[in-house]
Amino acid sequence: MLDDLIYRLRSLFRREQVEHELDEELKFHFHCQMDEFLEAGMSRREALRQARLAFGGLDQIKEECRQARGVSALETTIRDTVYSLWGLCRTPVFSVVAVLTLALVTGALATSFNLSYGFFFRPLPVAQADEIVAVAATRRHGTERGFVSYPDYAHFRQHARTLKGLAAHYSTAPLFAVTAERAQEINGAVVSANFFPLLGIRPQLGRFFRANEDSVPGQHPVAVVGYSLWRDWFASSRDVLGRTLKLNGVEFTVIGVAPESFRGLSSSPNQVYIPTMMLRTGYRWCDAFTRDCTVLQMVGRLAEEGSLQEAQAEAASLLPAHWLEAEEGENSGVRVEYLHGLRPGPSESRLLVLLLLTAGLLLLAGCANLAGLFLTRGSARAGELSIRAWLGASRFRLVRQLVTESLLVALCGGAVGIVLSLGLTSVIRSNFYAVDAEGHPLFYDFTPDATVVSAVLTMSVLAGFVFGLLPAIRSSRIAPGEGPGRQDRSVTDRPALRTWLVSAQAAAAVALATVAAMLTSSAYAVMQGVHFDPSQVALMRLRPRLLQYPPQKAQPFLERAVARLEALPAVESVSLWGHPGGALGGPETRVWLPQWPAQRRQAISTDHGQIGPRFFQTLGIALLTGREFTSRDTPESMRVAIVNRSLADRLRIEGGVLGAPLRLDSGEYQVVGVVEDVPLQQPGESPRPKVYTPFWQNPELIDARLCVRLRGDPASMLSLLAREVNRADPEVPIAELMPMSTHLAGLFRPLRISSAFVAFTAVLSLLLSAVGLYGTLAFTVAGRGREIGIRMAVGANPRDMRAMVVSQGMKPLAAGIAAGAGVALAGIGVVRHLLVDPSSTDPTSFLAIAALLVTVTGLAACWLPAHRAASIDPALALRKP
Amino acid sequence: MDLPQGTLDLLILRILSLQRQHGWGIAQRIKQVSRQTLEVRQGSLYPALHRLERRGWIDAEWGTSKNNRRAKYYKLTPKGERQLAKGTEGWKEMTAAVAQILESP
Repeated sequence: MLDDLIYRLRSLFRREQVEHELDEELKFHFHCQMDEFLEAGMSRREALRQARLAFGGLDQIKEECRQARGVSALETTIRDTVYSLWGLCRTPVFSVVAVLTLALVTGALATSFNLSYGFFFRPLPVAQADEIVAVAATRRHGTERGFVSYPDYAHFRQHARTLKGLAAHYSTAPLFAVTAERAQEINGAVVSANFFPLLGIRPQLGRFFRANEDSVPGQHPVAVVGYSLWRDWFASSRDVLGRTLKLNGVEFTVIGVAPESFRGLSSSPNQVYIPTMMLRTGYRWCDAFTRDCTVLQMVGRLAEEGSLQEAQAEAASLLPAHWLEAEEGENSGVRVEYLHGLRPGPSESRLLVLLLLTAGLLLLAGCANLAGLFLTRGSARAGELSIRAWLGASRFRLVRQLVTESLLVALCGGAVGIVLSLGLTSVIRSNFYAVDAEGHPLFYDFTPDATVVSAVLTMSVLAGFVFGLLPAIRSSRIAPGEGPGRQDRSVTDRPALRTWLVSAQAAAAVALATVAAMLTSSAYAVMQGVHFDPSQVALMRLRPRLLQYPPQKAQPFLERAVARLEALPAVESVSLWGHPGGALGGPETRVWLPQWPAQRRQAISTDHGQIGPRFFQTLGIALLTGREFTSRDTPESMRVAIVNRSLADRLRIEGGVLGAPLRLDSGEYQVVGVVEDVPLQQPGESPRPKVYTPFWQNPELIDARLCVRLRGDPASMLSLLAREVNRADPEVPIAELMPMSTHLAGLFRPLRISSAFVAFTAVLSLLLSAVGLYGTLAFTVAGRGREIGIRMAVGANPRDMRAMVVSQGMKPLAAGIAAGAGVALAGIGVVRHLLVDPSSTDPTSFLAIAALLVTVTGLAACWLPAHRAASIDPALALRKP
Repeated sequence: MDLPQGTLDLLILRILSLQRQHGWGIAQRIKQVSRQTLEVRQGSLYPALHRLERRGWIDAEWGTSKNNRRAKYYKLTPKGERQLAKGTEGWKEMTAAVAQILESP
């Protein structure tokens, strides 16, 4: 074994000497042979001739000896690589185009891998992450995930035997945190005392919760702060232990700091943790320890690795009794599943399927184009290849050499693609996944993992084989007797496939560009507001409930806040809407008319917004008929309602809806106005019926969102607004203070991502189609050099040749554009649900733009081959054998 | 007559077990001993020599031939001797078996 290695290495590193020895050995044999012939009485000349004949191909024997020595595989690879590098450097345009094409394609692939990994697969930063499971309640026959109440959690924890432990957490607790220096709403988590030990996390500083600190409701106001809060609020000081932090009006003592690596179990990083016994402070909307107050999620650690099925079976047998008679929409089942990634919503799953599919298709298209490029290169190098074949290179060696070249390109492309994906991923992260629609920070870790990197490199190497092997086999097909002047006749034999490819790619580019343009303009339209005007509007959320304000204290505060804001010269108008229940959707209520016979069964399911005066004026929504609410609509006055156009149409009241009595779940109202539909739900959904009632007519409301129309840029005036509201009551937390456009950007993230992604794909496919066209034409020009030479010799001028090449390229392109238009129309059908106003969107102009784009890039791709054709020297072309 | 596959290695080992020899000499010996029946071509001989050398069955050294030329002499290594014994035995067994079948009535 060792001998063998030394032998091989000797052959490798002392190649010259070994070669020399081989030469000498064979020469000796040759001379012995000569001597024999001379002794037999031949003339010297004849002996020489006979010896040569007897010897056969000297180079071939040498090559076989080299192979027998076994070093040749390694040596050949090194030589092939060096030779390939040299060859690639000799044709820099080709190399750059090939590497870039592959880099763009693998970049898209790596980006979707990065996102998938971050979303779904990255292990939690905890000890033995593969044992951690989520024990999730399910609703509606397992189709939805639900939260559980504290008594339900206690029930599961008490009985679960297949789990080493079961912890509870409420990971998106809005906590209004106040220290001597700062006051801000932050995202916290309410966790059971066994949460940190179960995950195997060690504190950065201090300690985590003791079991006795989580056994009596409300007894132990202790808190663990997250690493970033410790850094930003307490300057990473050790003095933080024992300090007081006021959360939702209750004073907590800081006992520890969580490590930097752990940010909680959801994509909203937790900045502070409090024990479940303080849940009443962490959650203000229902009594935290009752059976109906479902806010917790459960996380467990399997007793034995891989015992997921057992845990699932056990959990299913432990369902609390009242789950068994659950009503629609209540918890009715349980599912145990591994916890990894950050499990975003279904829109991310759909997005990723789209991303991966497209990246795969792009990879295929890229391979096809690169195969074309390599074939072109092969035919341009036909002469070189046949010389090498003549000199004794076997066909296998030629193929191997050519494949090495494509593998080199593949590896470079893959590496550049990974670098590119770093940029793309960070752009996606900062544009779409930095904050949620409410402006809260999000944390997604998309840094590429070793698995992702190796997967991408493997894919590109595979791609290298795919796009390198076929052209290599074809280029190395050298018939015996074919001389160095050989031309690839297949050029004129079967151009059909390549022409088709050009057409198909042009079609794809046109279709993608059209769809991208439509989606982008739709996203733009949504951001501008459809039937309302979000520009110059600022939003803020006021939650006196976090401080347990009763309505009698909260409502006067809200009134004061609105009055103060209205008095500001920069403010045009102010309104508010009750929370829950937004301008954008809102909770459902049933609406029916008193005269309807089977009242409730026919009731219309409607969104319900509780709004202040001047709401429609502030948001720029058109009042079709009647009036807005005013300050005269009070709890004492007649109950009134405003309906939107869709609801008015659905009610179908003869003589108009104005003045009609309307029944809601909450009582009887009189319609005083009709407003325009605002398609603020996801685009494509038909506008939902909506009923508005006056905020001030409901004496129970405590929390509200304010909307403020400003004279000027809202972003610059946010702190001014906050100061004014603070003057109305310095205690009440102000949260989610942002321009409305920011809110819309978060709300329409799926549309924005889809359009950005399709636009990116369209650009890529445009580039790919240009590369494909270029490859085809260059191939043709290289193969038809002689023919072009003849044409020019008999009188065609360079301009004719240029025109010939351009028309050869543009014909399939034009066919592709026409086909692409058809595909685009079908494609628009697929994304129609993402368009704001599908019925009125006219694809013609977008199609025209896309066709123009493809034509221009196509012409650019034709230029170089056309130029080359025009500059062929007839004398040189004809002199070739 | 061409050699059946794999037998060339055995013949080389056998010839080298008598004395060290260069490539030309090996080819000549095979021709002589087989009374001109077997002829080894250079195209098979030299790759086979290099293969055997790689396996450590034979060793090479440079020397001077009868006609005063520098020649590469090969000789059997202990490992090669063992291989020769094993190969000879295997060959005998096989030929006996083949003969039995061919001569069976």
